[in-house]
Amino acid sequence: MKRIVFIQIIVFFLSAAFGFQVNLDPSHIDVTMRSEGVERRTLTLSNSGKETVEVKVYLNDWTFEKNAKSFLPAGATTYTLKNNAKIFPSRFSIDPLESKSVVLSLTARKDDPDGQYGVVFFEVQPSSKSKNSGLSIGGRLGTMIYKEIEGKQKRQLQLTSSNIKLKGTLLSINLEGKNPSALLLRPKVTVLLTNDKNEVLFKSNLSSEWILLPRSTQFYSGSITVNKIDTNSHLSALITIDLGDDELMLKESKVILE
Amino acid sequence: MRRLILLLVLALAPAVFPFGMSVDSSGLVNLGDLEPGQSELAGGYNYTTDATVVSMNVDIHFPWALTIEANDFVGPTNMPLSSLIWQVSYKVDSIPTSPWYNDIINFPQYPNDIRRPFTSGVADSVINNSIGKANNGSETGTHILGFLFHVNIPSNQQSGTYFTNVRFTLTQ
Repeated sequence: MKRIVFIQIIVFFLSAAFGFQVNLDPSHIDVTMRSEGVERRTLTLSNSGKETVEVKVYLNDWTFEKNAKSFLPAGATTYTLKNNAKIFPSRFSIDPLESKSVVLSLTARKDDPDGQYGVVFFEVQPSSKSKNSGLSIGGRLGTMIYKEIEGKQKRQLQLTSSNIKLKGTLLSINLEGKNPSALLLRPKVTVLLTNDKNEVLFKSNLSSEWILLPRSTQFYSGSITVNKIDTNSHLSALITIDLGDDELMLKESKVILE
Repeated sequence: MRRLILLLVLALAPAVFPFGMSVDSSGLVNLGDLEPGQSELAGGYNYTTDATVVSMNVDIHFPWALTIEANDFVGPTNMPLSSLIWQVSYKVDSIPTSPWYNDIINFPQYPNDIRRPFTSGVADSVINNSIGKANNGSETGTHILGFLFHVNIPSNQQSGTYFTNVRFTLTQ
């Protein structure tokens, strides 16, 4: 006899059971605070959809690898905000065309690391669920939290490798950096190309995101299209890395032609 | 003197923030009875009528990312989460009549492989736009994606009703 696997994969939307539209403000919070201080911020979720939704609010840690963020339970990293962030309320429902706010309280204790980072998620589920539903679909929006203690460490970056290539008009910049400090780095990279007469041929900011969480090593890969350049000349690249807080790094590198 | 501290769930008039997400589907999808070894496209075959549509508004000045993940199936016995496959297409937000595009040639931020099985415990990147406004494919910050879900039932799967949850995560 044939075995039958009864798989119900049912998705109800709109008039049936599900569909949501929410907006969150802000998308990220940067707080520089005094040691042993407390800061509060308000995060607001609005429901622009047609049905009431249930919302769960909670903290996660995050990491950055291979140019992408990934999320972990709070407490999983050395720079977690787990013991220094409180959220109230953590569960509520929002009716259509209504907004609700939660208060995020951040504390800084004496022995805390200089930088602590996390994300506050607002996870949305429909308030009405079908008993037959086999596949429910939810979503969450996250506010990234960057909390730092004022006046402690300087931002530092150890550039461990650099590779600049020009293929046609595509300039590729590959860097590897090590962050030895307890502060997160978000370096801005500028590249300047010169020839053997020290004439500036090209200068531009690179828009690729580079994040180095505390005590991590991270690759950077960016590319940009340049005007046609005379490749008979010896080309050099001057890389400027802006760490913020008036900290700049310079790196000169030979350009490899491909 | 007693101080009264008000802790507050503020009920406000709805506001429109530049960072948001909507999830919507116009259809009811029911696979009903499947036999072991059978495959079905749970969300139907047609993006226009069957897709679960995820629309996102993002601040164009900051990188952003969307991930998708699912829980292990809950049922009478284990069914591998890899039995559930997601695939994605996109629309051009500025053109109301835009078709669903399966090619990614002009939108390099979309994944090359647009059809993948879920992996247990792992959030898969749908879009990882780490390159900001210039190359994010939209000057308005609005992105519209359609998802279809496909199920392959293992040939030795025990009968029963199985459930899972799919979750989208948007951050900037």
